[in-house]
Amino acid sequence: MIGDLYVSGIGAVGAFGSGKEALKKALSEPEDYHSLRTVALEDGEIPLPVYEADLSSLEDYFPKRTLRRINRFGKMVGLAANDALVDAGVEKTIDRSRLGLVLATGYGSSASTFDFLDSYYMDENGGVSPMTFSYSVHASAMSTATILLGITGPALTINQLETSTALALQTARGWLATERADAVLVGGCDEYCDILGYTYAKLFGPTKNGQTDIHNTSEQSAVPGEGAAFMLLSRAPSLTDYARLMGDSSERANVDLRILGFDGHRTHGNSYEPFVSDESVRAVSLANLTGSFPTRSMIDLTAAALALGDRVHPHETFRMNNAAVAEDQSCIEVVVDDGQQPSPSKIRLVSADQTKVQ
Amino acid sequence: MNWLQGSSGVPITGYGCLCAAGPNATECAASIVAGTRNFSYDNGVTNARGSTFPVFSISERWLPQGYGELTESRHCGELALAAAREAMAHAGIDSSGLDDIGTVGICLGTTAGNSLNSDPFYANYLGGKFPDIQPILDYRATNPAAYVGAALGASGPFQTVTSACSSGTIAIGEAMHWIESGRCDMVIAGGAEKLCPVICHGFASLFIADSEPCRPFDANRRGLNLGEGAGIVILESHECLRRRRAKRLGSMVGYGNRCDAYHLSAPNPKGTGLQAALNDALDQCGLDMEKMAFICAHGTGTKDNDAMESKVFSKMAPNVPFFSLKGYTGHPLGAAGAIEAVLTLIFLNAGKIPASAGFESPSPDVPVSPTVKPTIVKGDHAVSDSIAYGGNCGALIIKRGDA
Repeated sequence: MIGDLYVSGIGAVGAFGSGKEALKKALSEPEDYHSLRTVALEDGEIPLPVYEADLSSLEDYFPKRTLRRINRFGKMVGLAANDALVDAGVEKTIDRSRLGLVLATGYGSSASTFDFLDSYYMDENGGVSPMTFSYSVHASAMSTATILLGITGPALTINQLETSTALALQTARGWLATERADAVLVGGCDEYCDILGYTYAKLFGPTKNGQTDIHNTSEQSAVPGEGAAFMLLSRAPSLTDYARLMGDSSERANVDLRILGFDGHRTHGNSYEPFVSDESVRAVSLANLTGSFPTRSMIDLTAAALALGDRVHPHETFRMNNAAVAEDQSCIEVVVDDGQQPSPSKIRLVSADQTKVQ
Repeated sequence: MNWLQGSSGVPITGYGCLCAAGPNATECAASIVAGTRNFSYDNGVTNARGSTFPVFSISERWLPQGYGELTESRHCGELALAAAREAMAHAGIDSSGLDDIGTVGICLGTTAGNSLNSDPFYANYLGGKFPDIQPILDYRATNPAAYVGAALGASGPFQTVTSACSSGTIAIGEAMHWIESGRCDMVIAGGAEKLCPVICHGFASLFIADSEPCRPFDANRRGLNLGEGAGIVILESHECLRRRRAKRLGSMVGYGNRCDAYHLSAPNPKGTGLQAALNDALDQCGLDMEKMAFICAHGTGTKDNDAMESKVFSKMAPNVPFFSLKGYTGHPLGAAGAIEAVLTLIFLNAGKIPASAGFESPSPDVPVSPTVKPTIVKGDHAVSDSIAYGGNCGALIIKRGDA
């Protein structure tokens, strides 16, 4: 049995910006974050709304020279992972040889993969770019983050589509339980690329207005997005923890809020219906904050930690049912349907206050 | 002390492998000890400068039935499935028998095998031909771990590890944890890789591919040759082993996973990541490196890798024999560590290791030399290590089976 873990730092990057304050603002005072791209199809160009990550704060943390060659995927991972360390206040003190990193990704560094193929097909002589090749390797973002942050503990990239987030959490739990690491940065990242836009356009046609219809789980309304999120997890509680991630042997807790992974894909919509129908617990979707990508559930987890730790409650526009808001939110359930398991994964976080009492 | 220390390890009850060296684990091992090198220039790639790089591709007659008719995205999963079926048969499990076992996980390493990179689709896309998106949908349907899990009817969890060249080693190490922690009763673990010509060009562009058959640890080494294949081990809990009355062929007793945090495409020349991974694996089973019967090295044949790796060996185990299998298998990337783990166990149980193919002349930057002929070894434990692009290092310590 693997026990509870504690969330001591969070970092997130998305269309809403980066860092805790940006996420906090987006949860409580959401805006319309999508931008507009165009996709060429046989019948002409169509507009495609996309939730593109805002990386403008990157240079606050890393010198321009360091960032010059790093690809977008690596930048998102590096920024979110660094944010989590800084947020926990341990960036100068943590033992990097005892720090692990687990990265979940559905598609890997897809833009660099296609950039690399560009260089292969566009050069008549078959010349390819060594730089884009390096960044097309799936593990490049994990390596980039370990190099940027000086992490010499264990590291792993998991590539299991929508299941990647839950698997990454399990891996972090295992490393902490077996003392392979004292703390683990566990996160997820996926990026938008032109091929993904083309696939969306071919599969689903034009999207109405850049908004996912979170009140209609049987309608296709997903909008592509990208982003990264990380949590710093440890086995030992501290006074500044956001939340406690419940383990296998945790006590039962009444759920006060559910953050559902529904992000506008009708093929998964049915899985979320029982949670929407449960009028005793408020259900929300953050799809209109992030857009849709395989590991966006990692952003849901950081939002849950933030809601518990800093008492930031998701705005009414994220609401999926009519259940009242619980006065005291001390347990949040993040529900992720991965399409591979018979039922959605349910990950519970409880407030750190409750932890201290116990 | 962590709670894995002092355990008797995780039983290995079956293994399977196919690669350029052979169609199954036994024939691979025999071919390697005999010194056979099945490289091919015909299947290799020629770069912009006119150099042709040989590859170690699997002979067509050894490929799974119907392989050629399948879409390309299924090939990696099919190689893994072939090795998994061999391993299951070896472990005495028939293909319909997983239901009775309990929780059966799949943990597989790969690199190119799980990239969103269908060449014909992309060539058409670039050519403005608006291709059908079926290859993209196929990518979603052919994730290697899920593909094998679905084909075998395993209950899950399914996990694909994409930590570049250490993926196979790391997948087996993580699977070991799944058993130790009680998460699974059995794990089908390993790695698979399908040769991808575009990736060959990528390595050539970095000037770390050899246009001759590779020469790991040799003074004249010029780089790697790519390979393909799959290696699978069946790991199971002690309780499962007893219940099935299965034979323990060996045990996974130590696992290390560390990073050197140095450079995206070059290892730290001091070998700090590899040393730390080896030390973690040794700590877990309470053994000294010098007590190892042998080391199955990563040994790619690149200048930097081999210099760093041999320096670590000279420091930690100057008298322990070591070899690289890349001269027989090529470098099958995410499958390398898994194929090498299977062959390490076979060589350990046989008490005999092969010559390190391609090594002829000692190199001034390689302080210890690999085996030059098949060698009899004694001892109960051996190490297999992997070093990935980007500095992730993995190490497994394997114990021989019951005599």
